[in-house]
Amino acid sequence: MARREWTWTSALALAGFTALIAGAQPASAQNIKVLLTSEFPTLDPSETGGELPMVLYHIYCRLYSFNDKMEAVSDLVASETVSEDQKTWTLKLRPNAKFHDGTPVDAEAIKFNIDRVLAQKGSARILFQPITDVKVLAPDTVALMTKEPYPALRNNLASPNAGLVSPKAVTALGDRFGVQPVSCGPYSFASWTRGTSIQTSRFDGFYGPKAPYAQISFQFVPDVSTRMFLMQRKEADVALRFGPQEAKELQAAKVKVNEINGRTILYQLNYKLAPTNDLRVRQAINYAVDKEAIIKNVLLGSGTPSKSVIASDTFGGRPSGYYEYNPEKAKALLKEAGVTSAKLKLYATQNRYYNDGLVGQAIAGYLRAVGLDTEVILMGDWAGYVDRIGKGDFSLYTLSWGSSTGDPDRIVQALFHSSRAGQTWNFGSFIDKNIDKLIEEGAATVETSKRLAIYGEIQDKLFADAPWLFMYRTTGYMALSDKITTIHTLEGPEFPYLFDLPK
Amino acid sequence: MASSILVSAPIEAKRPGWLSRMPWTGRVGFALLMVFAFAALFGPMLTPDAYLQSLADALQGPSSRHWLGTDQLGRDLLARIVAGSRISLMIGLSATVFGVVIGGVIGSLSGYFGGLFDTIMTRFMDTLIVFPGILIALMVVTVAGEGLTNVIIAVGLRAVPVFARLVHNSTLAIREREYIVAARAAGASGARIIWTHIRPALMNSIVVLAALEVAHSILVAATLSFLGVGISPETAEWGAMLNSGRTYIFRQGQLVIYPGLAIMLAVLSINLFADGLRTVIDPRRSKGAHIS
Repeated sequence: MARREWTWTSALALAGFTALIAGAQPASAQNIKVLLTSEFPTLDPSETGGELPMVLYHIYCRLYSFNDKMEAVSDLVASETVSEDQKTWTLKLRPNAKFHDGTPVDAEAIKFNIDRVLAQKGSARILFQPITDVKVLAPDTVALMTKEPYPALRNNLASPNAGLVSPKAVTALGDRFGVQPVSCGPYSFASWTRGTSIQTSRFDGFYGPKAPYAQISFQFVPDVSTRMFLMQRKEADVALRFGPQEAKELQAAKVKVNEINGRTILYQLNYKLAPTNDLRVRQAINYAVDKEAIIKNVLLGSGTPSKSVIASDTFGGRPSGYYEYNPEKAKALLKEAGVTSAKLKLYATQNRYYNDGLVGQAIAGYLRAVGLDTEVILMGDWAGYVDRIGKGDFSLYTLSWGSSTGDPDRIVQALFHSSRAGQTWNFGSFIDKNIDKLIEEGAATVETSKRLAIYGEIQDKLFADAPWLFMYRTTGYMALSDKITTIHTLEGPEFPYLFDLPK
Repeated sequence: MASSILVSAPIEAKRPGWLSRMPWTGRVGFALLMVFAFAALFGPMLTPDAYLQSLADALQGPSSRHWLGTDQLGRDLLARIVAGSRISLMIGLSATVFGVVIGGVIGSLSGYFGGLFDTIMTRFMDTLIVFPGILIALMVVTVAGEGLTNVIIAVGLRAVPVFARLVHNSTLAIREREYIVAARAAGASGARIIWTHIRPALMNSIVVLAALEVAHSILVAATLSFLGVGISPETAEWGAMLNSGRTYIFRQGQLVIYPGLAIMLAVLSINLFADGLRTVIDPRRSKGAHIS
């Protein structure tokens, strides 16, 4: 009796075990783990910050999305008609789209979403701001009105911050929506263990192609060595934000590493304070710093020098020129400007961008070499840093930008429009009425060739005026396991999509 | 910690020199300390500019031009270590002096006069002493801001309760002695009694403890700059150098090995010297300490 039972059990166990082995392969290949560096307070799409966009991509659906070439193409929109005066966009929605809670993604829901963001103060507001009115024409048709023609609307609506929320869930959850989001993306939110991870699972009712992985778990691992270790042990499948050295070590350990274009790093110069209010001094600062040597020695090769205010993969971005390393010319320009003794204050972040503190020190060294006495202030706390910069006593400070929309409008608006002077991110108080006019024209011009010409002019004018110490575009590295079969990394944003993008 | 009563006869001039009465470990510590002191005083005159960068020469190994190699910005590593010894010793000494003066005043006043002031001060010092030193220093620097002076105060503040407690406890015991009672009967003021009658009796134990505190202060200051608070990261300070070299640990080990070694040797030399000093000042006690 006992013996027979024993045989039974072992046979069962064996069968179970075989099934487990057989089943384990596909099942585990379907569940993947993504390592992020830091957590965020909310998953509400109207907020930005850190690696939040990567999670937003997967949970939220949008009216438009980016394709592999970073062009905004229809996603939830089945067809669009733009009126003769370019001010009314009539959008017909896909008939089968549903939110994760089963409610339909209809014209009412779109109106609810746009009204909601416009009523808030979040970072997403700027994306919807050109929209003056939303009209529901039919259950599946909605009309968006803008005050001026606004061709970048598609790009704005494709931004991860333009993710659509379920009106029913927002009404039911109120403030708690951000920690229990309900949208209509390829993955639905499952759970959030504070400080540890966010779980998502494939949404079977998704209107697009079936998502490749059954579950994606986003884990927060701030320590870079731990992220490396987990990738080497094959305990994670995607890990972001490695430096060049770690990339080398990972490759040596036979882990696949992808290179991605990161953010544009720059030093904004202060137009309000001497001596940087003098064009010749701003140019001298640009000539004094050896960008290539910094990239080679401090960034260990992970970057390319900036040649314009707009990166080349953003719409309209193209090189305008290059201030080569020429300390003699810098000294001559300073002499011409009559600057004999100047004290500069250089502010830089610490551990926000790769080796940022060291880059700041290196720049100060170069400036001292041409006779500009430079004090370096490094700050590790971002909020404190922004606060300090806002006081306006800097000569130059570091900042970075990356394009989440692929369109230059938001970038030049934020960095150079005089309405932003003295505020984020025009703390340098760059004011030029001609540039203002060009920025406004660029935003409202529909014809592509004309738009390109306008942004070309903006870039050339800005380059010549040297509002920044032009630095470099960083190169980032992410590690991937063999389980990752579907991944799309676009040129502008630094984060990959783990599902197929619309064509 | 040497917080118990410690009263010994003053060192007499006729006895052999204090250095020769020191155990050999103390003498080794003293010799090493002299090397650091020499580097701090005259080093920057003998080495290249510690702040001169040359990116073309970044991350080089040892050579005849750069004896210990160069850092990420091509600055001479030896020159930076030497410049660092000046900053570290200065912080260590100033912070300790700060601790001795403030702690001594608080400790002697509360110990001698007693009463409510004593109760409040003792409780306050007890509260301070349970905090890890680095926590107090971090707090002060965060509130007061960056800069060398603030770092010295922050590190010194940590030493205040240590000295206050030592002085307080010793004063409590001494103030009941006959010669103090006699002085009081003769009409001497409290301040005068503390300064001329109690202070000399405490000097020996303060000196030993202070020597140890110098080492501790150097360590706390290095920790602060390793964490990136306090001194500007550009400064050639050992802790700051450790921090900026941290990411290069596997490729360019010299960036962390030399500053690390400097911190270790400086702290070790002071500790050995302080230990030797204790033997000289109070041989009986230190022998007892070795047996137990």
